[in-house]
Amino acid sequence: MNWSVWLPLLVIASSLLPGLIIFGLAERRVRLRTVLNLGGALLKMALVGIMLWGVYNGQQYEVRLALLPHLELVLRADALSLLFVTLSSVLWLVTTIYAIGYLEGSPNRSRFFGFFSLCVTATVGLALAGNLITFLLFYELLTLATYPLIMHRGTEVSRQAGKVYLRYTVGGGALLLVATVWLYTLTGTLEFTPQGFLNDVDPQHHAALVMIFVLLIAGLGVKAALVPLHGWLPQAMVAPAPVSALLHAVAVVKAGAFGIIRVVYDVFGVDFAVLLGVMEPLAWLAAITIIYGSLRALFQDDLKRRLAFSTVSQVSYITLGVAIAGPIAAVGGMVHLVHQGLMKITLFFCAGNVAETLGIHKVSEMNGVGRRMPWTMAAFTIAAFGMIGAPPVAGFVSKWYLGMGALEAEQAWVILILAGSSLLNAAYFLPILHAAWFRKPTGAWPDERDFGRKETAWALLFPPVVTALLALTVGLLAMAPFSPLAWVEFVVQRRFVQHE
Amino acid sequence: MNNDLYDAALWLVVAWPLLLAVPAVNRHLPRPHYLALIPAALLMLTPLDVSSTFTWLLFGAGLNIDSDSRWLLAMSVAIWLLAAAKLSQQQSKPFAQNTFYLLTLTGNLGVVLASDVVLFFSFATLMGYGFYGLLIQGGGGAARHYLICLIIADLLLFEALLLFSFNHETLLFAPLAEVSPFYLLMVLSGFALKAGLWPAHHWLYASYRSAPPLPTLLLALPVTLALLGMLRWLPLGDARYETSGIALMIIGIVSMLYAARQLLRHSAQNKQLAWGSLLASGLVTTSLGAGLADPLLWQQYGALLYPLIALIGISQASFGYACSPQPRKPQIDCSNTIESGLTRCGNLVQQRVDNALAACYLHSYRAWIKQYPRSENGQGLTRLLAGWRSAITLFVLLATALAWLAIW
Repeated sequence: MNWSVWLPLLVIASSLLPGLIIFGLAERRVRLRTVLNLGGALLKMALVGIMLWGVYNGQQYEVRLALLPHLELVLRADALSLLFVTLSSVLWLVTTIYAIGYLEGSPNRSRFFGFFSLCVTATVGLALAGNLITFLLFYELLTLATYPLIMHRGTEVSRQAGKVYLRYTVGGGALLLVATVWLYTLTGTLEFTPQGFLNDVDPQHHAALVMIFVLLIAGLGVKAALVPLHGWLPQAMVAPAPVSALLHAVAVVKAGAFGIIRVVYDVFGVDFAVLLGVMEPLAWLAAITIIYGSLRALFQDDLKRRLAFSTVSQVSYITLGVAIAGPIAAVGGMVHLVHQGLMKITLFFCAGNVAETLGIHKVSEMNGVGRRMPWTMAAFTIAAFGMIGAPPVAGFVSKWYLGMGALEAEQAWVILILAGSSLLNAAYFLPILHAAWFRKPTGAWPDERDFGRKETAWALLFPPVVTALLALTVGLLAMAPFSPLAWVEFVVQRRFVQHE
Repeated sequence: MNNDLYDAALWLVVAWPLLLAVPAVNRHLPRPHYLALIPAALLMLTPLDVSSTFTWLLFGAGLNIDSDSRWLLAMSVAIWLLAAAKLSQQQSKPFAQNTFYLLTLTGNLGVVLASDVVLFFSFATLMGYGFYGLLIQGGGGAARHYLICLIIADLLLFEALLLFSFNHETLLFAPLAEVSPFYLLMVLSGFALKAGLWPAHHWLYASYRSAPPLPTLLLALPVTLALLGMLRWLPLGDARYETSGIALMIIGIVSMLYAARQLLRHSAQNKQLAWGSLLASGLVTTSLGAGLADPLLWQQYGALLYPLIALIGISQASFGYACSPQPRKPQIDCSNTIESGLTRCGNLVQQRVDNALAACYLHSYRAWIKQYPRSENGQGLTRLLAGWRSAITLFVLLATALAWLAIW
């Protein structure tokens, strides 16, 4: 038997097993915990690399495990799932390094890293899910794994944030479960199929399918932070910076957005979804979320809350790209999954750095921080310009394809949304850069920690610089054969019918 | 082998100053502002047309130098040499000034050499934000104004980029066939903002008024390169776009008239620089409008615009180099006059006093004409014409009328 067919399971195990072991480690076993964390991350990356090469060359990786009669746990590595898995595994590695530095000397690190690993396991699991029930299982596991991370600090505020998070996500999960069961009763299958599996459903069930679509989007929209289901996200910012980075860039919001992609392309199919008339409302919902998130971000003085509302806005670019229902827009939406991940994680890392090093939590406290922490703010600057859509950072490439996709699909109004959003992005990011680089500090920093001659700890500085450079590189080398854009074009070319 | 060498030399023109922009690099090198210009100067002196494309870069980016862009490269090298000389006179350097200086330089050279719209846009963005970093050192007001105009202009040009790419098979600067009116609107609006043409000239005036010496000198760059942008992005010499051409000519002529009128009012050197810049931009814009309206005219005379823009840039920069800050003279008092009513109307719509063109023009004309009492022997008329400011105004009006007649 070829061992490579077990690769999907091995990829999941590469984070699950270390996570379970870490739970049992004593707090003082720092070195072993670090080895398990980093070793698991590196192993995952290696396994993902093998799968990438295999899928590119036409190989199939699939594992089926019987759950219940007629219900299987299916893990399948296809081009789309590997896009998300690769992003998750690369960013998990840098986040782990960051978290090791961030939490140095903090209590309950074994608990933290245990749930951290479970979170990534769940993310990778839902990315590799081959049917809706597997997706649902890992989706709920993600909720359970991230809840303790949000409450990690143990303060009243964090407990309250955790409760809000749980209310939203469990409610979303319930809607997802109802939709899944309903769909199964109508079709008898939940298998993700290119171009969907609902084309042969009796037209008299179309109204029911529209309801199912609404329920699925509502369930996924909680994690994807679609308005008005986004309320948990800004409150969850009380969590430590590595958790915020994980939530916004690697795991939770991306899981929601990825789920929407799966539902539109592999459950309903683009053409059938257009026929049902559900795509245009989805596009409008995404557009409203984009503008709303940016407007709310404008009025936040807390840096992480500003970034949270920015995430609410930016993740909806993915939904918008999917909802426009054209191949070019699909490329723009899917590639933004990667690009936004790189840029947003950089921003959260930098926010964590200024908080840990100088005690800065608010934008109004950031005067002159560029002089004190030039490398951190240089990384922040690159990521911020990427969010605005300035070339050649990755965000420009996403907006380019979304704009071109809008023109191709004859939905020019989307370009106005993109322009408005870019203007708002500039309005809430540029003042931060201005304060950091061009204003002098008003006094002593709120809570400065001494790192000697260094700007901050290496484990805190290295990850944002790396992710900022990645964000710049994937934009600059967008046309390179190994770029995320090239992979997404491969996904779209391979899987989706041209929408006419 | 030779081709690879020329390709490397071409890319080195932008890569070298970009590398020097890293603080850790330029801190350890002597005179990085001069060093950064060496590849550009060598390329300028090499009498070869070179082109290089890197298919992996952005959406397939390329640089090239030909007889037209060589003028602008020469202008850029000359301006940056002046800037380097100005910089060496500075006693103290503000935080990160070297980095912003070199980023602006990189952007400038990239704009001149870019052979496709996306790379042009990318370098223009780099230059724009780099220049903001230099301008902000003179205080917040003018720089903020500049930044707002830059952001809006970049948004407009991004939409134009999308339209360009959607309607053409290539992103290269090739003769454009049919373009939509929407594309023209985006391009003209975007570059008019960047060039500081009337009525979007406030950032330029405010910048000249308050910028420190170095950015004052470099203000020639955003203006001239915006004019270059119009030259490259507009469908000149191919199809006839009468409406857009006429609209552009009107903007150009009004810019010139307004600038001439303001030149009469202000004697401070830095303000005269601002209005001189607007006057020159207006002239180029009028010519572009004429070329847009009449492709045959463009085919005959269009190539002259490259050396003209280069001359304008070098002149502006030279005057900027020589300019020293002067105290502000009080504005003409428009109170207690009929014109002040119009001025107050202008203020109500948040226009500045000197923007109520008709009001203050009338007032200043009346105040000025009082200096020349009537004379039976015509001496008053002679004195009227004796002042050089009146001569400039009349000359511009005459030249504009002649140009108009020639076109029609």
